[in-house]
Amino acid sequence: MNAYLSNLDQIESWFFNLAEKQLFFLPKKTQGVNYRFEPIDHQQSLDLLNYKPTILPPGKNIFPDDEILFSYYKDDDGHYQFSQGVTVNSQLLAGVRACDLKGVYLLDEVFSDGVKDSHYLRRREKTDIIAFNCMTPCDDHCFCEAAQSLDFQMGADIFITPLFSTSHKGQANEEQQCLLEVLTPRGNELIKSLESTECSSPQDLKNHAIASRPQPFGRQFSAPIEQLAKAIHQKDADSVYQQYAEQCFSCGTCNLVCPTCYCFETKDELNLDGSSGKKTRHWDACLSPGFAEVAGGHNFRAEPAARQHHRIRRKFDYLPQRFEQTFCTGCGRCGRQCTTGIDIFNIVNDVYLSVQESQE
Amino acid sequence: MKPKIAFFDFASCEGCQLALLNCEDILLDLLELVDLVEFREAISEKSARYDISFIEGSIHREEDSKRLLDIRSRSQYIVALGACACNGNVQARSNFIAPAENYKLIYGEEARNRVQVDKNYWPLWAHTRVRSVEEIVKVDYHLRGCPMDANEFLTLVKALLSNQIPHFPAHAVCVECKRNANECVFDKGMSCLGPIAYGGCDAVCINNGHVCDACRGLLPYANVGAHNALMLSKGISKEAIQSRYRLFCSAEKMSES
Ligand code: SF4
Ligand code: SF4
Ligand code: SF4
Ligand code: SF4
Ligand code: SF4
Repeated sequence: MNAYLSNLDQIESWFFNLAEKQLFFLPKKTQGVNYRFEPIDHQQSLDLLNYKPTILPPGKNIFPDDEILFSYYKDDDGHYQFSQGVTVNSQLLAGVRACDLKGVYLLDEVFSDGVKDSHYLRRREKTDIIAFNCMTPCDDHCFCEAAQSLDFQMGADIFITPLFSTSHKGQANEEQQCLLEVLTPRGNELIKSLESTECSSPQDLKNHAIASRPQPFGRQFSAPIEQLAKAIHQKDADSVYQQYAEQCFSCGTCNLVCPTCYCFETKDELNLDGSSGKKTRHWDACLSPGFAEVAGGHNFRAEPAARQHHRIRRKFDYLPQRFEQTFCTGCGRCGRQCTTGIDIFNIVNDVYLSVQESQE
Repeated sequence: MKPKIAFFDFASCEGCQLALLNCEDILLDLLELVDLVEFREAISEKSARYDISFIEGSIHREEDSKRLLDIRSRSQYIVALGACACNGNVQARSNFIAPAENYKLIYGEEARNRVQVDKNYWPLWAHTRVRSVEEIVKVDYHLRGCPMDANEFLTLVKALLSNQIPHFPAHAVCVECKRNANECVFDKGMSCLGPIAYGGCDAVCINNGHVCDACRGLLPYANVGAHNALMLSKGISKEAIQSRYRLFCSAEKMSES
């Protein structure tokens, strides 16, 4: 596919233009220190170089909470009539970081595996993504390079890489050249309205930009991820999980903000007439105490340590076995938003170190 | 036959019944489906048995607990309605204050002295300890919050009317903060009881720029130790933290320490 050059100033005007034609989401600063994917507004400064991962990952726009799976009613002949969900509008997610792009890619894999999840897939089908690469680690929590998601670009329609140092925090200007790689036919449509020039040697420019990034990029584990995964697979390391469980509220925040968590529960909502209603689905969290409780009241993971253990194995062992990808993108959200300061990066490192010790 | 529903009042502000009356749109439909046999003074007819008894208010005197036991024995389901019934609410703060001291705080020293000698005032001493409904009888369902949430009320009634088990997940308020993409108030320099409090309110206080004070009570698995450490690490004093726990949850065992 083609590549183009443009500058940040032009890209910003292009975003505003695109937003007039369709539902367009971009990270926006909250009143505090965070960001949120929200419809773009004209007063807003776009902050494309500086924003850190949003409170919720952009994948939630494709996998919304409280989604109606189907609704039903009883017709005059006494037969139940069903209709599927709600109308899905097309949307554009812009400014998606590489870590979150990988999150969406992993959701794509999961929801197309085996029985296809039509609810997710029909939303995904109508979602365009313009990704924006990172030139500096977003904050102290990120470990995307170690988790192998930095520079990830599968699933984007257009992937933008800044070709200048992004460490200074000024206004967008014309000196700020960016490379835009168009990866899909939709991307080709989208880029038509951008003022840009075609680029003949994108790979060289990109390699050069990437080489000038800080090294190492963000936090690094004590060992390569494959070795961590092996340690997590081999040993239960109960004392490590227990130690973290003691501080844990079992609030599920770490799951709910994670770009790769896809578990949900379904709910039947009956109307007062007793014969019509709907089935909805809601985000669930394996750190919640009720997650593994079954009919009759038995709970397979009643203890918080068991739940934390399960979570770590999902991210680094079980799902990688099935999908050949680590299910932690290193976005750092869980550690950033855990009120008690539990960070998956530390848990994984500690598990590795404890397994090392026990083998010595 | 339509199920018989009754409402009973104990110590409360009756705000929960008001919250219910405020959802007129559903109330009329609902009244078609049930037989409302007792609603305080509103209806005088008494029925010996109730299918669903809603209990509003906390339990203070021995005579209240006897009345509650009687209601229990005549009801298929007991539903604790609102924070007073579920977790004692603010009035349970008095559990930590000697009755005479409490009286002085509210009515002044003179009244406190009179209550000791004037016979007409003696019934006021009958108040022993503020208790939740569950401390006295088995509660089948809790409709938590100050006031209770009309949506949860509807969920409960619909489920019971259609012979389903109503589902109120015991998760923290944080879950609902995430569902609303809220910025955590700890990130805004404030502090919050949400991580140890029952959700179900849709995190309404945080949605509206406030913090959570756990009006729905503490979760059965609340990690109060870790929460205490978190609050201390934000520079909040021990006394202030304790007072915060005791605002809505004084009748709960966890906040006794
Ligand atoms: S966010 Fe933190 S406190 Fe909440 S469940 Fe996860 S690790 Fe535990
Ligand atoms: S586990 Fe944490 S760091 Fe890893 S992808 Fe999920 S939220 Fe991000
Ligand atoms: S974790 Fe990495 S890819 Fe994600 S926003 Fe931070 S620096 Fe960018
Ligand atoms: S604001 Fe309170 S309830 Fe919401 S996430 Fe933060 S601690 Fe939890
Ligand atoms: S946010 Fe907290 S204080 Fe507010 S209604 Fe919910 S439980 Fe009560």
